[in-house]
Amino acid sequence: MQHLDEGTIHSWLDGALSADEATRVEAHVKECPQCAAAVAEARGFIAGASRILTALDNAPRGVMPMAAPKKRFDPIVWRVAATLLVVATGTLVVFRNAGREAQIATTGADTASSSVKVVTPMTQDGGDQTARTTAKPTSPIGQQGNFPRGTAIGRSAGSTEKGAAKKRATDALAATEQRSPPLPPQSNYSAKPPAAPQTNIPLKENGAIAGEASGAVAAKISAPSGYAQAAPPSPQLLAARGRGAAASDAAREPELLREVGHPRQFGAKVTLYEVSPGDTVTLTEAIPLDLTEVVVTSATTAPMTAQATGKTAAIPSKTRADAAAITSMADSQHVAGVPSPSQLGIVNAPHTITWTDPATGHTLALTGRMPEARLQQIKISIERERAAAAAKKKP
Amino acid sequence: MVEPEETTIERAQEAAMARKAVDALAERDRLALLMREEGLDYNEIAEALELSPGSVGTTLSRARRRLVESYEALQKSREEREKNAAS
Repeated sequence: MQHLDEGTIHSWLDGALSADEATRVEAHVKECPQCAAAVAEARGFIAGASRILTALDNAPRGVMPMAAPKKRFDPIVWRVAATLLVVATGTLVVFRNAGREAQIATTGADTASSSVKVVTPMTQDGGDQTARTTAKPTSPIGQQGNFPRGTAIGRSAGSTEKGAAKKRATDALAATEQRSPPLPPQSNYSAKPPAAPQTNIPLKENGAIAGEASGAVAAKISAPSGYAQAAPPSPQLLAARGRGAAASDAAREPELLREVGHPRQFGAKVTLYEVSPGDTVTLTEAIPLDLTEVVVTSATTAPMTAQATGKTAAIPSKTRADAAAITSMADSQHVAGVPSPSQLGIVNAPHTITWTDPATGHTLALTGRMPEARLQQIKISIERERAAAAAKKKP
Repeated sequence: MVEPEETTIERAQEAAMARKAVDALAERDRLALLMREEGLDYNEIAEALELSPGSVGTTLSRARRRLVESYEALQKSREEREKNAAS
């Protein structure tokens, strides 16, 4: 028998030969030392190849290139971000609650002070239920804004405190009605009611306001009735008109002037004075214009020529009292020396007096729905105030 | 279990040499060898490589010899480089 070839030896070692061939090869290997050495070599190759191929699968991790893991934020970054978010939210909640509590406390204080004002003894008996009830919401306007008392409470207290605020207002109103009719103390006028130079509420609506039992309700009626630019008349002002008690204030010498606003007007400085409760006059100081410096920012400005000359710069003042209120006021005039509108036969007639300020050379126009004689008195007071103000500016 | 760093490196080197040795084979020899390592019998390998069943043993024997010789050559070359580096 010839020697075995390498292919047959590998086939025999791999078990791929048939039983007869395997028996024959086995018998030959036992008898042939050369073929036995070849079989031994073949066993070594088989084992070596198997080991090498196994080494392919034993590649340690980290050696073979792998897909780079997705970059993710470090968990500590998320922790810090979450902590900051929680702290910020908590701080916001705490501050908001604190602000709300402070506002509620302020509202409560206002209500208390309002009640104190209400029980102030009055020297004048208005005898008019309408006047009393309307005058009730004495104004914390200076603190609460440009709206009457009832509205201010409702807004500032927030939804959760609305009920309580309304209850306080109702209680205060009840207390008012049980006591003497209130006259707004003079000190109340230290607060500035809103200026409304262009307001012209019809008389019938004013009458409706006077007939309201609540100042807050009156304000709500007047505010949304097409005069959004003008703040509603202060309840105490309406009350004073209806009662006529303010006539005594109007008759004082010198005139007690109080600036209640500075309506903006193109080319003129407008100052709104309140000379007595419900009576206002408008002082218009024409300022010479240098057209090179004028920047028109709104299409609603008044005609420049008219404003520049100051001749027609008189602006209708705040809402006037209705005819009934004026009549009541006139009837209650009992201070000598001040003619009533009815005596002059003039009701709701605006008058304007003009003069030139010697200090500035500007043309001043004073407009008010009152006799010229009274405007002259007011003019004197205004000149005094302007002189005092000028002295302050130039010590 | 973390293996020592040297073992890991040696295993990585062996794997690299094994791949080089396998890549050095002829395509038919390499395929026949890998198929046999995966457990295919001679008939399946013959059918896959379009060979006669009798030639599979010859192909495998040649592949095994060349693979081992190639691997031993690479191993000898590496040992010489390490020896040169050490000296």
